[in-house]
Amino acid sequence: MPLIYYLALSALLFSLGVFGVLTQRNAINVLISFEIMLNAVNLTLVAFSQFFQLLKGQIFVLFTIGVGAAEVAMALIIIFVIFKTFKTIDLDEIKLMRG
Amino acid sequence: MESVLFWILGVISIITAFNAITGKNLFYNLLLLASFVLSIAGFYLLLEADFLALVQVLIYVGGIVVLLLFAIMLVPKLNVHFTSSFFTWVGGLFLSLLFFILLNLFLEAFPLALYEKGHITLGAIASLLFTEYFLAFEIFGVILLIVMVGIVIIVRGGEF
Repeated sequence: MPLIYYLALSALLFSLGVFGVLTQRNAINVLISFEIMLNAVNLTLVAFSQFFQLLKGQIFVLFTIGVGAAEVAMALIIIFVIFKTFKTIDLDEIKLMRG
Repeated sequence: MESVLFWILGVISIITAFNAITGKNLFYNLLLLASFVLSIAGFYLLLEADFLALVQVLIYVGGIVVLLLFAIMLVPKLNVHFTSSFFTWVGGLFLSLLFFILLNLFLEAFPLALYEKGHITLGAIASLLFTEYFLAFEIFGVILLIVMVGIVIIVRGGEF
């Protein structure tokens, strides 16, 4: 398969993730959308790395996977704290800093 | 053969990603996320990045999705569905479509059809990771430690 197919597919998956972040109201659903966006970007990096014969792409993907795991753990704890404070994880209801 | 696998995996990944985002039950959403991550691992195998496929399955399916599933099962009150307004759906669809078109304009701007796929071995990754990128590797370990300590502090109620 040519490189452009992989890139178009990752663009579509990333747009799906953007759609989820913009429309969903449950915080964990937004987290799932973030994961989908992260995976789409990783797919782009691996495709570029294989087609351009550059190892740096794959090492970068290793680091993003690891940092993504740390990010999910941190985000989950933040969601728990928000749930304890506001008694809900509806992102439309959490308005502590409204102007 | 490769193109057949590509289209099968592509269809699976798009359908599972869409349903994982828009589904109403969070438990099923997470299982769909797991299958989405597995299809991405299939893409890595297709691109001959076998080590990354292994890491993807280990960390995403074995770590992240299981962590989220445990969170959902331990606190069932998190598993609720909030219906978004019509305006939000239309706005989100419009903006994400605009983003997709923008990305595709970028793709058309570069002559990408010239490149051929090659093969990268695990040994080459390891030798680069432990020489040129060794500092980044060490800093990454420190980041994981900081996250672990931070989570423990937050869970215990902020008593430093």
